[in-house]
Amino acid sequence: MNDNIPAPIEERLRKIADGMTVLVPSAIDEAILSRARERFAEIRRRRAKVQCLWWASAAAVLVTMGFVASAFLNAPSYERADIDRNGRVDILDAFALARRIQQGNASGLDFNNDGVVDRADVDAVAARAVKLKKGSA
Amino acid sequence: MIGFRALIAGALLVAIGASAQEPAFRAVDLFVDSGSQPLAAYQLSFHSTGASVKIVGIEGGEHSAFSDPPYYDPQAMQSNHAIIAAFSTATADQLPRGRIRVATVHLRISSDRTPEYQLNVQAAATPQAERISVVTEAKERTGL
Repeated sequence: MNDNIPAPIEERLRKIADGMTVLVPSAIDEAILSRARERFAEIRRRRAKVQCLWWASAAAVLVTMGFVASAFLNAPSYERADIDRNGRVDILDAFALARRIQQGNASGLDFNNDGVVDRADVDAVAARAVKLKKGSA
Repeated sequence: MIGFRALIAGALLVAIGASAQEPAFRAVDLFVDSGSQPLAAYQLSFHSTGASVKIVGIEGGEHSAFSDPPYYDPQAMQSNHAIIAAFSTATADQLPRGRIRVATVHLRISSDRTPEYQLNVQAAATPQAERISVVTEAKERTGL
């Protein structure tokens, strides 16, 4: 509805338009159709590109996760008391802890979970070092 | 019948005699020789075989750095195996070098067989926590 056209004129124009057949040359029809097809093909190509990007991103994420998991699984696991990370707990771990305490460099090594790192933690590591395996005593 | 009873009685007497045998107590000194290197830490595995032996006590060594009782698992008491370890954070000039007695193991032996002692080094280190090779010996103390 156009407010600039008086209503009676609009009414008459509608009646004329309803009764007449608009002839569009077939060349123009084909051109419009062709451009529409091209446009839709372009939209499909863009969608396919975006989908490809999504799949590539998902694959990259999966591969990265695989690498991270593999790194975690293959990393050597040390006992917490194995301070020198040589694969076993012995008196040298207790000795290392005692030296760190002496040097004031033992934060985070609270083995008996009493809130402080002191001689009791050294004793806990030493006790672990000399513990007999079941059946060996 | 009388012969059979006499046989049983004899067997009982032998059994009572055997069980009444007094157990022997022995002390075995554990030595570590670190050569020219100062010894700051050691861990030894002591094992007694060949006789009915039970560990009844473990005491420290001769040098002031190791005179306190070493670390060991209380489960080792009343068994024939112990892991014995100690360390000292003293400076190199206060630590022993050469051959020293680091600990003594007290044993209760309740058989006539002579026990054999195995002593293996599990770890030894200098004051800088560098692992070193040491020579060890378990020697039964005489003249107790």
